[in-house]
Amino acid sequence: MDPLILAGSIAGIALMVAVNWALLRDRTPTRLTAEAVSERLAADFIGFEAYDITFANGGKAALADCAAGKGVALTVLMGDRMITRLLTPGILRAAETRGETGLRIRFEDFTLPAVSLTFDDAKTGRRWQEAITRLLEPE
Amino acid sequence: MNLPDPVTLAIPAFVILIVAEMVYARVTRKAEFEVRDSATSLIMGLGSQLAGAAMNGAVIAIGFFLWQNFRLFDIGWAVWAFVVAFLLEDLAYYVFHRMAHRVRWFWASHVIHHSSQHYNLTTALRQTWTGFFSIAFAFRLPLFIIGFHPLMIAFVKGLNLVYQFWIHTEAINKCPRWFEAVFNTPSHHRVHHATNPRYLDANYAGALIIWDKMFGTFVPELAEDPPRYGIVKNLGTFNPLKVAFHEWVGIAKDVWAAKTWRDRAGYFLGPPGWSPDGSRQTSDSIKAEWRAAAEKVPAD
Repeated sequence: MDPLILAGSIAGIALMVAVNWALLRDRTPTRLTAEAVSERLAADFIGFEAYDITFANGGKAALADCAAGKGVALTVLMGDRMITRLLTPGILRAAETRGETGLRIRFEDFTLPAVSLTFDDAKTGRRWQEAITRLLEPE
Repeated sequence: MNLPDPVTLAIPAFVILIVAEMVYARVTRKAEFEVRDSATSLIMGLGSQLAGAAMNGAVIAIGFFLWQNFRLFDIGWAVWAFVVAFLLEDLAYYVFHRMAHRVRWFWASHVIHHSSQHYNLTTALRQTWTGFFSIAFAFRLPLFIIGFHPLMIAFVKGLNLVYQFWIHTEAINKCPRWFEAVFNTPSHHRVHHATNPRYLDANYAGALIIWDKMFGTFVPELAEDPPRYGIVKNLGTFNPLKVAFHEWVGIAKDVWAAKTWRDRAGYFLGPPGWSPDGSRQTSDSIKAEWRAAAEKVPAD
């Protein structure tokens, strides 16, 4: 590749990212809402009716149970979009409590190897840790 | 004949149009960008250009070898030859693109282009680094055997890529009806990038949507089902290296853990999401589940 074109391309990328930041950085939401989580989980996992949505990390992540028994789903805010994972034995590796109110979920997932959640209270963290651990146990 | 590289020539226009779309997004809120997503897409584009620069010579050399030794016709450089080359290259792109969504080996390279949950002009530049490795160029080899000069094919391929840039936008709703009937448009391509079950595995066109209409893969965009962009299992990272190689890593892990050669072949050549026990979801199984759920819901 011509070094001039390479240098121009890098300068162009820097310009576009800078313009994006300057004009649109205020469009990124700072927390999830129950409505957005429910809607997204229903879209990503057919038949998933979210209830008992618990927010963590100041609203940047949420765990939800499914009314129709499809299991537990994780939603994480990434930029201005959501990442969702249905917590099934195939993708779950472990769930461990961290401190009083923390829970760390590890996945068999190259792009999302682990998510650390901090809840408002210790009881909530333990409850979800137990629920997720049950998913890992052989039937 | 000395032909320019249309993609290199178009780079300044790409930059101007992306900045213009960002300004449009700021003013109208009819387009959406996120800084880290845009940066990832643009870095993927640069990486793709670098990988292409390293590998295009090999593809052209293979093309020359076939053209010099096995060509059926001496087609030459007439204007009609460029037009026919463009049409046939677009058809070859359709076939490649369809395979890229139906065979995991090709998908591992192509998935990068679909890995953003945004749909804007930066998404157009989110391109693979491993296209050569996936042997995607094999779909164009028949054109050299027919007798089209390798440099002519490289030129029309570049034109096709430049055409596909502008259709990656939400800023344009629909084009004139005659244009929508013949050409790939932002509306048609939004469907292609969508993960809504109704839109999965549709609209593989490059420049001309006629191929999808001919081969039964055309799905129109519906106002009542707005596209949701990305992939079925969206990536939890903006890291370009992970974006570039995640599906290859997935294939390697699956093949390593497979118990039989049939299973190993399935992980390479089956559709994305294939697994021996059917425990994972393919686009076909998602569509079937969606249809079954829709049938359960009584019509209003």
